[in-house]
Amino acid sequence: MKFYQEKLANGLSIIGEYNETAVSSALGFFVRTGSRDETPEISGVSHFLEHMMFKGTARRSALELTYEMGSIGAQANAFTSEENTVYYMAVLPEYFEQAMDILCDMLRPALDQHEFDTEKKVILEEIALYQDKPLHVMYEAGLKEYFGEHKAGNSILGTTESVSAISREQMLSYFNQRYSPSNMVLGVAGNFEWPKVLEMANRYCAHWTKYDTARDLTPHAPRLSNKVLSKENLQLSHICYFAPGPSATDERRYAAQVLSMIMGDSTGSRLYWELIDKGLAESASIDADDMDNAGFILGYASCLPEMLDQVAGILKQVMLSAGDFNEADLERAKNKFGTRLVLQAESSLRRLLSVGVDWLYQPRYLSLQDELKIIAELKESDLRELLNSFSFNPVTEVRMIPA
Amino acid sequence: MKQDFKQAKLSNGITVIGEYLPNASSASFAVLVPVGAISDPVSEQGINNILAEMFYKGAAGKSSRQISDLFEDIGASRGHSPGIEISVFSSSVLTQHLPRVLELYAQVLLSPELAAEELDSAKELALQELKHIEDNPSQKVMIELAKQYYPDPFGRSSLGNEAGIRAISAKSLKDFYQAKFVASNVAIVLAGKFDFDQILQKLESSYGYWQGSGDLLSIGAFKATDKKYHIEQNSSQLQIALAYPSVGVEHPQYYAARIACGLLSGGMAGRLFIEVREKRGLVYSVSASHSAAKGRAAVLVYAGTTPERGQETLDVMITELKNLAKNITAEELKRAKADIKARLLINAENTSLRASALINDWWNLGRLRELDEIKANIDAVQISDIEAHLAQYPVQAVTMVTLGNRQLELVV
Repeated sequence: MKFYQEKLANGLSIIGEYNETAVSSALGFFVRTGSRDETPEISGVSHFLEHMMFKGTARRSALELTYEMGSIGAQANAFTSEENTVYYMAVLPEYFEQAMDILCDMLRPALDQHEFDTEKKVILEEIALYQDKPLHVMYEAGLKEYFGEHKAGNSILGTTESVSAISREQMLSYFNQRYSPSNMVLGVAGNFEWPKVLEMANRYCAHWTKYDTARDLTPHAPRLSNKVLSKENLQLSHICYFAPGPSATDERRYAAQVLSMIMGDSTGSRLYWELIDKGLAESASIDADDMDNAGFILGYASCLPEMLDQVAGILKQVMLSAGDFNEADLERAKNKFGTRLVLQAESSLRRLLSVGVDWLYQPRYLSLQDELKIIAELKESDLRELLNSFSFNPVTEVRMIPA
Repeated sequence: MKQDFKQAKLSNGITVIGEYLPNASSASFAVLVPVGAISDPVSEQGINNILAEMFYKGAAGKSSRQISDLFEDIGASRGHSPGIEISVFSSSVLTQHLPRVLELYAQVLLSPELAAEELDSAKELALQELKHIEDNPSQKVMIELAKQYYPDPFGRSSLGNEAGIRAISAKSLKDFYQAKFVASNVAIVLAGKFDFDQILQKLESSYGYWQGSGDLLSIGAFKATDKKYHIEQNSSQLQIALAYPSVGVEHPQYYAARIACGLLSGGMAGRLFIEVREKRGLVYSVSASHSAAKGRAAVLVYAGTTPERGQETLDVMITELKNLAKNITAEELKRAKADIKARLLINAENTSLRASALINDWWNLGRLRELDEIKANIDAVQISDIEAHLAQYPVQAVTMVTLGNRQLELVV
């Protein structure tokens, strides 16, 4: 493994993690923008724009772009979160240059009006698709309750109304405010030649104009709230609890992740023994989600509607007593965490996504070995100190029950 | 590139197959047992799924908690996939823990307690899994599609049904285990970095005493027919799922059939994606996949759309399926091949995906295919091969399942 980094004059960061044994090459653009950077009038535009990046450029029509990616067997996709938008491809090394050409071209989209109108329908279908997923509906409502007016709780998809109302001009204006090269990272991982990457990045991206981008980083005030949603004919009920957690640049996030694993991993955790092993809940978890100057701990369970009060009580109790673990619990969680990191790193693409997203938050490279070391060195006292600042005590509660 | 395949038999006839991957830092391990939903008694459908859960709830004198701790002490993942015809128990670990994890699996699989006091909670969980599916339309429609398309028991869901789960007793579970969970046709699969001779010795002492034999149930010849099935449910989207006959992995036309599906739905450049989504914006999800198991195969097609656009979506899909053999271009063929080959090679980076590929080959073909062999077979397919295949396997005898608040006209 070898790490490279460079910055173009226009502010575009370029990073690469070379792995001599990798079969594939992974490449991606990581953009520091998402639903929290939207105003209510354009709710959903970050995600809609992500789709439009696949719909043609000055050099390639939508169909040409798709066909060209297809001809090199590129495994391409993208995702949008509250604060990041990521475009990525995995290819066989012989197609690396062509993939770079396509990916860099994609990031300067044509935003053709006809394509825009057609793709809007796809987005509206995606919104309808998610409306049929009770867990998603609850999670989105939960974020809103926890963050209140704070923009970190903005919906990623937006609503049928907000997306219907977005115009091409509004999208273009959003692009011109958020897609400055200085707000982006170009990342590569696996098998590649670094000089080639730099040469191509210069050729395709050096002329991109830099402008100022900023994000509102006002700290959030976790909102004490309790909400019940309902849905017709629901067979299982769901509950989630939000508690404050460390941010993406807070070193304590590792402790938060390991403690969440002790408390709420899918196997062998406190919640597993309290809820799943006993057959009380169908699924239960605790996760630490770290964001830009914000973060939260999310407790979740689903169960039969008549069991919801009991299950909610147990879930809450486990979160309230997060300090109730011993040295052996910690060691097991660390072992699981470490194995998962190693397995993830076997894939060039998954490694790229991890390193690239981290870079958006903090331009600091951690090799797999560095990360394993951080986890291995976590002590019981680190987790206890975390609990002094972030108690895991639920602040926001949202339920989804049958109507 | 020559792959380093390993193959051996234990004294009781269990097959051991492996691939040595010198660059891997992990090793994946799996036990394939030829027991699945098709083995469930009619009145106890879901019993094999319960059994898979029960293995971890006490074995070899150890409690459920002790077993869990033993796996987690070495950071080992635990996967169990009780399927339709086979069940797979798997784990991925750091290389040094491979001997330990295969020993742990021998204990849970070969000496389970199957205690009555643990059964109720396992049943409760299984009943909730059924309800989970009810709440997830896109999963539910595909489960129903298999049920409608294949003759029983091959169309079953591995989760079983409510009456079946409720009927299971501690005694029936033990009887099922003893009768069906037998050593014949079992395969143990390894992928990653390991010392094969050392592992083989270990496997012999841990699994060599496993006995028992059973017959494999074969699907035989069956004739798919035109069929429509609708599930009325109030949801935002209408789910549309189709199935029609194709050829399995062992068939000479297999690669042509796979690539034909690739033309429809290989990555973003497939005809279905382009025509249904990209040009018309009718859906977010549309796909066709080639589903092949031992002795049976089908093309499965899926789309989800809002009800008022359901008929148009279906009509466009059917047109594309029917016209597939028309105007296949060399460029298009190249794209479909590139997509399948890239997936194949990129997935090979991961030891657990590699292990799954070996399992599928072994179960479906009785031998392991080198990546080069698969690549060569894909490369060899010509447009005329696909045309010939589609002439023999056109879109007919289509089973359609819809779920939502609108019924559709199916005209093939």
